[in-house]
Amino acid sequence: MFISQINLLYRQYRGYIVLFLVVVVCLVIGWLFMLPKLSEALSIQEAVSDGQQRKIALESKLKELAFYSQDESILDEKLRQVDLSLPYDKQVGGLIFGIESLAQESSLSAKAIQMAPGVINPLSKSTTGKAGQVEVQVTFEGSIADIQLLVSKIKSARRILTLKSISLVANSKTGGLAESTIPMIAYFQSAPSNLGDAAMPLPKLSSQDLDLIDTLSRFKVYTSVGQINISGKANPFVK
Amino acid sequence: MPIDINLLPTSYNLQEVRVKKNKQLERLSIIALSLMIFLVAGVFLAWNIQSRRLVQIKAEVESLEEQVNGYKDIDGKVQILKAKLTSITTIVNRDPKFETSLGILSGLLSSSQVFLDDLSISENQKVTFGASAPTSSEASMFFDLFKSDSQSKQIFADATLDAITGAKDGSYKFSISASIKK
Repeated sequence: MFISQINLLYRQYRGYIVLFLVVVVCLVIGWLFMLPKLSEALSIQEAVSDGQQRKIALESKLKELAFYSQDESILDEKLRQVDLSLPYDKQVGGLIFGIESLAQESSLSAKAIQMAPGVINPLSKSTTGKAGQVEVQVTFEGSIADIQLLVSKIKSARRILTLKSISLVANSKTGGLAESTIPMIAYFQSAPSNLGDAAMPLPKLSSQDLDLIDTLSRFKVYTSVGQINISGKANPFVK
Repeated sequence: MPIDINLLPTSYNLQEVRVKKNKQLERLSIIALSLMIFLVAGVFLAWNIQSRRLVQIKAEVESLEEQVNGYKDIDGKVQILKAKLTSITTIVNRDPKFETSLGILSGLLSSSQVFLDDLSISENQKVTFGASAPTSSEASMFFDLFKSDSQSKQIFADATLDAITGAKDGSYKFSISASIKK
C-alpha cells in the first residue's frame, strides 16, 4: 500500500525528482571538484603570466649582457675611469698625497692634515647605497688668490672632493699670507655584495652618464708627490 | 441556466499534462547534467593546459637564469658603474659656490683700500668676513660696493655690516656677513 503510494508519487513527480537529484549532483561536483580545480587553474594561470613576464625580462637582460660582453674591455675602461673619481674604498694614502699635490700646484703649503672620524655609510650593501664619505681637515698657508686657485683645482681634480667650509685668518707676520682651514670630503663607494634578482633590469647608461665619464677622464689625477723612497729599518724600536 | 466555470482539465487531460511536464523536466535535467559535464571537462582541460604551460615556462626561465648568471661579472660591473655615476652626479651637483664667492670677494678687495683679516664660508652657505680699512668712510664705501656690485649682487644676499670700530693701529675694523644665493 505504502510502496504503491510512493510509486504513484514518483510517477506523478518524476521530472521534479530527477531535476532535484541532478541539481544536487551538480552542486556536489561543483563544490568538491570543480571549484578547487578552477581556483588551482586560475593560480597556475597567474604563475604562468608571472613566468612569462620574468622570461621577457630575462631575455631582454640577456641581450644587453651579451652586448656588453662583446667588448668587455670598454666597460672595464669606463669603470676604471669612474673608479679614479669614486674609488671602492677610502684610499686615504692616495687622498693625502693628492691633497698635498693639489696644495703644491696652488703654491700653498699644507701645514696640517687631519682625518675626521665622520665616515658615513662605510659599506654600501647594494648598488643603490650612497657613497661613503671620508672627511679630511687641512690647514693651508698661502694667499687668498692661492686658496682660490686650490678651490678651482679641486673642482677639476680626478678624485671627487667637495669642500665643507672655508675659514681663513690673515697673518700680518707672514706678509699677508693667510692660514686657512678647509674641511674636505672625499667619497668612496664599495662594490655591491649581491646583485639582486637575476631578472632585475640592467641599469641603462644614459648619454649624460657617458658624457660624465668623458668629462671625468679629462680631470687631473693627483695621487702622489714626486718619487717616494721608503728605505725602512731593521729594528723598529731602535733609532 | 447555471454556467460551468470549472476550467480544470479532465482527469485524462491532467495525466497527459503531468507526463508532458515530467518529460520537459527530464530534458532540462539532461541538459543541465550535460552542461555540468562539459564545464567540469573544460575546467580540467584548462587546468591541464596551464599546468603544462607552467612547467614549460619554469624550464625556460631556469635556463635563462642560468645564462644570465653566466654574465654575473658584467652584470656587477654595469650595476656598480651606474651606481657610481649616479653618486658622482649627485655630489657634483651640490656645488656650494665657494670658488665664485672667493673670486668675487677677492676682486672687490683688490679694487679697494680694504684688507681682509679673516673669512669664513660655512656649510650652510653663510659668508662672514672681517676687514680693515684706513678710514671709516672707506669701510662703508666697501660695504656699499659689496652690496651694489653686479657680480656680488648675483651671488650674495642679505648683506649686513657690523659696527665699524677704530683699531690701535689707526685702521678701522668692520665685519660683513651675507648669505650665498642658491
